Amino acid sequence: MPHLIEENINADDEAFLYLNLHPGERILFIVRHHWAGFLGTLVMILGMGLVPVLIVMAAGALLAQGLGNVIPIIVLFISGFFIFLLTFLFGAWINFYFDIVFITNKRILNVDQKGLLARGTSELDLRQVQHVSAQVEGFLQSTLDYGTLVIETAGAGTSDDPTRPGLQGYFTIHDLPDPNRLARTIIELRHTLLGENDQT
Amino acid sequence: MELSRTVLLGYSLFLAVMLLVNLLYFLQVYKYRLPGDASIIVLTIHIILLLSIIAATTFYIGGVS
Repeated sequence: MPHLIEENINADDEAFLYLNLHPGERILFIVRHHWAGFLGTLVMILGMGLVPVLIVMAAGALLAQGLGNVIPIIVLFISGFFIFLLTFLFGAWINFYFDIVFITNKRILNVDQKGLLARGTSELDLRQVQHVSAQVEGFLQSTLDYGTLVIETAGAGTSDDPTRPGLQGYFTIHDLPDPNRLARTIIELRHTLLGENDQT
Repeated sequence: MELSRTVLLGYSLFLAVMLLVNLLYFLQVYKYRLPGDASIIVLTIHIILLLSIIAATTFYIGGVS
């Protein structure tokens, strides 16, 4: 999935300014969430799109009874409904698409888009990484090769997983493509940063 | 049947709110897009779909009013 995990990034582009990269820090990977994580929302919105079909069928029945006067109002309602639905879909897509994980040679930055004007960035120093695990569960995740990446840290984490509490933090990032490769990469980067590569 | 002024005013207000929300989304996409990502393509498709619905509705309203 090369489109979900980008490499060879030119971090000099001004689009990356908001990340406030440290001197000498390079972006090695840009990881977007797997599209399958958006499927639930998409199916729900497509389901909502069927509502106007039911309205048109009901309008057909009204028309047959000689109440055709309400048709223009129904058309306006359907138009407004689809505009609302499109806006809702676009907002949901922005929330999904702009959740990005940046892996640099020093840190992991998890950018979390939270609605219309809210955006959170949590960062983790690679030297604080204690353990990384990849969880691929279920038919869809196994087939499409995506899952959850759990990074155990020596510092505070941003866990949203109630089964992993404690003083040590957990970075839990859902719906990442190829989580096993990402876990291995993070461990290798940590070893490189700590100069442990040549000792093994 | 002609659409009453109240209905058209309500629709216009709704449209104004939706366009404002979309404008905020557009600004967000423009600000946070990354080089080579799909955001501009999706944004363009979204704008085309929105304009199509608004144009078709306007055409219809023009016909019945």
